[in-house]
Amino acid sequence: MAGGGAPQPSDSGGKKSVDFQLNLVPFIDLLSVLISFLLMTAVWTQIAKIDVKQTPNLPSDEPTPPPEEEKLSLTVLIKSSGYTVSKKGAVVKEIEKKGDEYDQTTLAEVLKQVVAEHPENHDVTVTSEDRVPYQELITVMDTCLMHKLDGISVAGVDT
Amino acid sequence: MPIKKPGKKPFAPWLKKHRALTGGKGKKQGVADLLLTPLIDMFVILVVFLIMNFSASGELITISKDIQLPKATSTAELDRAPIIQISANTIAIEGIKVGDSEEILKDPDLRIPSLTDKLQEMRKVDEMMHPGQPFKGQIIVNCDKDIDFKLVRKVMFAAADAGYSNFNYAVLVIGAGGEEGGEGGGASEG
Repeated sequence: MAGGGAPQPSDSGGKKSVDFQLNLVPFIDLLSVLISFLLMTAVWTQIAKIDVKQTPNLPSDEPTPPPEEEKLSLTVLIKSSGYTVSKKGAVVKEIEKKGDEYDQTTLAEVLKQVVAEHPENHDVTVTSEDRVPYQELITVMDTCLMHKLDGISVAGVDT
Repeated sequence: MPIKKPGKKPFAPWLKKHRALTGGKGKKQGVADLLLTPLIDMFVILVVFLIMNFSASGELITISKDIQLPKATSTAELDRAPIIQISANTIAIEGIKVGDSEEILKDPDLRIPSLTDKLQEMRKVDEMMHPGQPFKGQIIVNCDKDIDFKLVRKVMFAAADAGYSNFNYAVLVIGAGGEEGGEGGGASEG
């Protein structure tokens, strides 16, 4: 084995061999322990969060801030037929579904354009119809976060 | 224990010409060196891979079979908070069932009293445990990706009724990188 740590004296008189074998056993032990520990503590599914603050129309203990007139009020409405992006109460763009899939590319482009026009705004309200799957809500919030719109609030619409 | 001299055939055919077995000058020795270098190489690669995947925060959420989490790229790291689980069959808080999803969906009332009561209890416990500190009102929503938004909305309403207004939607992180690998994800995905 590779256990011999000290250089072996050669048979030919007092001439010492230059060969030296490292003692690898403790190193292998250390690696084995490390691998066992890391395997036991490994987290294979990376779960994270998307942070959302409560919208004022839902009940909360916190007092609602007074409405600001200059607020952009950027809203993304998720309907069963597609997205509607609006700001200051006016519709910016209606994005229809492409087949069965929501057109996220166009939504990203529209949001990018709005962010470029109003770089100071970081708030967005995501509203959704009741029948929309939860994944679509998350996808829209994800797209908003990609465009630095991190002040997300969620609201529902009565359908 | 005496060391026995091995037989003519080496224990591994690929070591037939190994110096330690043949003894250099044709004289056979009884000691065989194991090739440790590939073993250590493999160990090192394994350690590096595991360290790259290592998460100090551990696993806060255990995913049940009924719940398939939605996927996202722009995410933040999860904190410890009460967990509401919403599956197609049940709604549970910290593993305790508070209602059937279908019944709650059919109910025209937006409130879920059983969930609100349970959350209020948890809020009281939280305030007792952390006196003098402001109540964060954080809650983790662990919801199946195919659930209708109506159910999520009802749960949000019930949670807000109990004073929980900071919602953390649990998602699976997609793409390479860790929990915070969000910003450079590329807008044109999907």
